Amino acid sequence: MASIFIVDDELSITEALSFILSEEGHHVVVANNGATALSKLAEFKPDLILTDFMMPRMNGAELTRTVRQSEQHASVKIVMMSGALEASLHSVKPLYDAFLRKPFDIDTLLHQLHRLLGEN
Amino acid sequence: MTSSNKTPSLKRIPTGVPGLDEITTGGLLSSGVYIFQGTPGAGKTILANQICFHHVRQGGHAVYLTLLSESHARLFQHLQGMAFFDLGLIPSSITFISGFEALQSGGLAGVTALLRGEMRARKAELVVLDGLVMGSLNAKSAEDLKLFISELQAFSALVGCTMLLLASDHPDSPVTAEQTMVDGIFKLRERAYGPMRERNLEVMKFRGSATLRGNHAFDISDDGITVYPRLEAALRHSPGPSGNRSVGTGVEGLDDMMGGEGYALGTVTGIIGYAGAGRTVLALHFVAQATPEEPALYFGFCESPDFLVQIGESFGLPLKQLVNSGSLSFVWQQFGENMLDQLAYRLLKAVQDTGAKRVVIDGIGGFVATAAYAERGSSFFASLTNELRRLGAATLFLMEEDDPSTPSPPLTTADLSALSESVLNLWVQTGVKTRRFLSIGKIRNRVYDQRRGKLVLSNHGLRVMLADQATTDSQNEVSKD
Repeated sequence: MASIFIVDDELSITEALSFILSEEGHHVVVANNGATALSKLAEFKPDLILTDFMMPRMNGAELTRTVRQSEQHASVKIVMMSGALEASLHSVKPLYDAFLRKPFDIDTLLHQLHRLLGEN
Repeated sequence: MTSSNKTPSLKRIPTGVPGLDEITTGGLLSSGVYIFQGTPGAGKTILANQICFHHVRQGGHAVYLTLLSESHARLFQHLQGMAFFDLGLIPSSITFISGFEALQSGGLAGVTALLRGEMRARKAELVVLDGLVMGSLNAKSAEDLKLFISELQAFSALVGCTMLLLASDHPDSPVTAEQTMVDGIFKLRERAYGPMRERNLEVMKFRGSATLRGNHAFDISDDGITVYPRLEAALRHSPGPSGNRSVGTGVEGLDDMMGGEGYALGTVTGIIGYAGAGRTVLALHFVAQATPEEPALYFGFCESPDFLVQIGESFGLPLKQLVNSGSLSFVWQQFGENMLDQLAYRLLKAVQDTGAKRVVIDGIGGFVATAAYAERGSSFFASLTNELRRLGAATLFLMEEDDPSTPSPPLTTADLSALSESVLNLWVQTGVKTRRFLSIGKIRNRVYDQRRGKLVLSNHGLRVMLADQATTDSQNEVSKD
């Protein structure tokens, strides 16, 4: 069981992911944009952040950069999600661990999570 | 020092949607707030995205904010097949974000705050708010929604951002109070005509500029949305004086019957006749006279271009050669399920593109069969024929009639008068032998032979013989059409 932080401005996405990952036995916390996510990270240390790229207030790139610079969360696994092409996220690409192109299916998501979390 | 009292014209944001900027006489006004309203599936989201992508292709930035709609990834999949959509422009030029959480946690004030922040952060000159109905449902009162739109309007003006609010509605719902505060309202609707349906757009309100009033048809294809400004509203140019010069009919004897000249350039001639009376053959003889200097266009709904060439060749008309040399063009479309204005613009564009001076429209039934024809008939044809005259072509309009034995135009006298300067009637007498006849119904401003002529079809082509010639030449006649 891992602690997973879902950050996405689309409520339908956070609700669906939250349901599936909880069913898988993970502890799930949700935020709807990068700024809210950062304030939650002050009191919570996830194993993995599953973040959307395009969000209001603070996008996934800004969140990733800030997280990587923090002492507390620098080594957290980060999965970037977006409907946009990964090529358009080149500036932040070295900072995340995996990319999921939306819409993705549940098997693809779980495969990536298991890989990054070292689960069988 | 001089000063001008004239207010500088407002800056425009072209939409890039074919036909739409013509309706608003140049595009949306910069910093304006516009409502695009329509039933679900009316095309609002496609239209707004098409405008966004056009805007960012010109170097601008746009924010697309959804309140409650399909997920953005799903939206991209649906738009992927449209020519205007370019995933590579997301998110560098267009950012898609959801405002639903802001609405839930902060109400309309939360959405306003979010939009203000995003407009500035993204340096967006264009913002779309998709799902105004959600804002409306979350408004505590009508005043609350008014305040929301008023605040958006004030901020848009301040930062120079144009805003599109997409709202679903019921087709019969009246314009509501909050809409009257915006700079413009566009209604998208689908109209039913029996089993046929047609998409329509109407500009209900547009501050600061004239618009083309009334309904305008549009369609959605892989190219996105194309609006066809209603011909009567869009084309109001004077046709100018009609032709001083004529082009030959290509039919032996007919030029003489028409007063020694053929069809005048810049005029329209109605060719009326029952099926088999010889309309098509008469028209093929006309286009067979095409030259590189005076090319011809055959705009048809019935026989395929290949078949028409074959018919022409059987009368010794070198149509294939003319097509190959570029002097003759065929534009064919399926009969039925067409949009009236779309057909008209396709025809006019073909005339302009080919520079045709000899134009055949085969036939009027292709226009009559469209959904919108019944309510526009004569006014539509008046605009279309005026434009054809203005383009300087001699146009033949082939018209089908129901009765084989008597000339009976399928249009009212008013329609026919609006449509054509000249009318040729063709009819058939059946008996032991089928005989075809032609008479001239009218030629404006010309003295012509009012006797009826016999149409003779032979391997050498078509000829018209007046009564005194007909007897001696009848042995050469063959049955062909």
